[in-house]
Amino acid sequence: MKLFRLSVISSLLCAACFGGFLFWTSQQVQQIESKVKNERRDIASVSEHIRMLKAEWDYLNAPERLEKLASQYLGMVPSAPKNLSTDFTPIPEELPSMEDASALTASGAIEDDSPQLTDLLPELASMQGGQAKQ
Amino acid sequence: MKHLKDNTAPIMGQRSGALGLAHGRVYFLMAIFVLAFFVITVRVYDLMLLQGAFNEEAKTKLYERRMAETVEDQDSAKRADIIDRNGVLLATSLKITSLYADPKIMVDPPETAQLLTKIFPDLSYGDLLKKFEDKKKRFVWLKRNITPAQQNAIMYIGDPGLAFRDEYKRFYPQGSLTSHLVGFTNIDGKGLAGIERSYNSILRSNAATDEPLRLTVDTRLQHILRREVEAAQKDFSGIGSAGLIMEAKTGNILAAVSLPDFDPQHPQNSESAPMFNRVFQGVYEMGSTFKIFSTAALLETKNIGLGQTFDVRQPLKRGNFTIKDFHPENRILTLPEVFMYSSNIGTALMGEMTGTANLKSFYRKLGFFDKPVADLDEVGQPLYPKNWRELNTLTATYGHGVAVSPLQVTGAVATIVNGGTKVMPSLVQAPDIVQAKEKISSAPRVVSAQTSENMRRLMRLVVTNGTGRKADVEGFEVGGKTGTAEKIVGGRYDHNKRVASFVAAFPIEEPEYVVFVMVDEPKPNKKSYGYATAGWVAAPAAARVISNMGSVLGMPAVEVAHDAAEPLLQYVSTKGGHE
Repeated sequence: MKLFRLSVISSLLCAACFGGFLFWTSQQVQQIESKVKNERRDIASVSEHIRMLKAEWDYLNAPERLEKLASQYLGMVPSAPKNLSTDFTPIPEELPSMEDASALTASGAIEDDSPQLTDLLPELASMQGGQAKQ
Repeated sequence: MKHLKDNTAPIMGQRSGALGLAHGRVYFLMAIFVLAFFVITVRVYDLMLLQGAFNEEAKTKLYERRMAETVEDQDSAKRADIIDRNGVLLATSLKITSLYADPKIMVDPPETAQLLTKIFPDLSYGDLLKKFEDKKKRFVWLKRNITPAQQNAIMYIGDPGLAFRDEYKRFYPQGSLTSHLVGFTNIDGKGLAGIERSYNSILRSNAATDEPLRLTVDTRLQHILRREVEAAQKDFSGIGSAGLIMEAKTGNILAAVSLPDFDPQHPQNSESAPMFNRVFQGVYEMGSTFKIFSTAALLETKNIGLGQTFDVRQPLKRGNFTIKDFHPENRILTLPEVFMYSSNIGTALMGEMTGTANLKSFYRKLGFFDKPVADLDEVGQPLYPKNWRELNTLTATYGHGVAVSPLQVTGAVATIVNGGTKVMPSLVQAPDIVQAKEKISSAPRVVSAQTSENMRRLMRLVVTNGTGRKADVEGFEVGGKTGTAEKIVGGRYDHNKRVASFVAAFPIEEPEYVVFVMVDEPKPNKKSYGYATAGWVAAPAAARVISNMGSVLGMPAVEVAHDAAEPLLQYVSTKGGHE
């Protein structure tokens, strides 16, 4: 009775290979599982943090607080219905880019008579003054 | 087995029989092993592929269970969030740390107790020592909700008998703004009031999936309403006030304010009165606001024109009872005039025309005799005479003898003005919009479209020419009705204690929103020339609410060519102009 027949050796080898592979897989699974567990804990902790930040965000954005800050630091008052416009037709779809605009102005193709910010400042100041009086 | 046969001589006789038996046994064993391995293979295939890879439901369940295990919130007080219609947090659960003791393993109870009282001055030394005394106990709460700094200090004490446990605590980022709607919970996370109580089990079970409960409320509108209602209450030194904004078509409650309110974070600090929800629980005799319903009842049940006249020159005497007008007009009024001047005599005469049975059945259809269903447990039971006499019909036309909640009045006004279909007030947003729309389109009709239109015109007339002129907002056609009712004190109507209310709908051509403002026991001030009636108290507040709502909701002011009240002007004599 030959002990070391090819079939026996090959099946033993095969079994050893499978055994080794199984061991490797199970180790991998364990490693990944512990990794997943850590990740989950991190997710839970991060989502807990997000919950807290969300609560804080909505707390800080409470309308009463915003209104108080806006009136205290920006002098804003609740807007009246007549101040609200939903007609956007006076606003052009797209403005020319800065280069195009300056090139056009330089070439004299269009005349730049739009008010400069410096011209507007007194106007703005008077507007703010008027609002403060209200 | 084949090689055995090849290399050995054939075995015969008795031995061959024994060998055959052995062969049989070997084959039998092999078959059993093969079968066993086959079963295992099938089972592995089933677990890994059939149940594992393709079964998404099982996977998510497993994932959720694992997540829950990681978060360790099995028995903690975590609850699902409550959010407003735009996703703003109204209530959320946050993790906090609590301190407990394990007396059995405590090393030095007296010293630990002494050090603990240093960190928490509100804990008493004797009480702590008593708690540590019982060595059999393994768990005693010492202090819930401690700060990280306190936790650090406790760790420095270094006693192994002191331990921490993470808990969830309810936080209300909007504070007292929505206190009556959202309610509050106890320390163990059980809902005790408002939505927290009414939806307690859903909020508990949704905690694992973090599925929030969405309300129909808009925090911005809630703030506007609260601000203006509070201002009105303050201006006229009222003892309380209420406000409600409702979508006219859906019955969705956008804002509901009851003042005084309380801090849901520390509800035990407030007395019992602030917990009382005037919008849902309070029932009031609404006064002239009810003329909307009695007038609609007349228009709906009797075939009369708007030119119908009523003689209001003399107070109306029925039995021992006399009905008088607050501002006697002393002439014959048309129906629109009765409504715009809010004549009690005229409305009582209209009630006589309508008849008791018709009026009662109309009020029943509007839900004034039943407890309303409104997504909150705390709703008030309406009051009405159990033994209804003819006289009750007359007083009920101008809102005396029947007490209902602001919620019911607003819902009924929405029903009248929205084209005539019944509105069911709701506070929790339906997830399925299509289904919600179907529900609206299949709602039962209470008044005809024609009556609804007439009522809208009449309500507009009150604001353009009648008692509600201070409710007008340029650009939004506001229609409404004032109501000033005397309160019953000790079984008698007290002339100095009133409930002033105003209910408005806008834009009146096709109302989107119904706004209700009420001040409890307003007192006259200098600005109102000694008046504390609804036209002075509640109507201006409603106007401010509507004006501010417009900018929040992006509703532009629209100039209309023809005012909704124009067709009624032919019935109105301009001679008797007064407040």
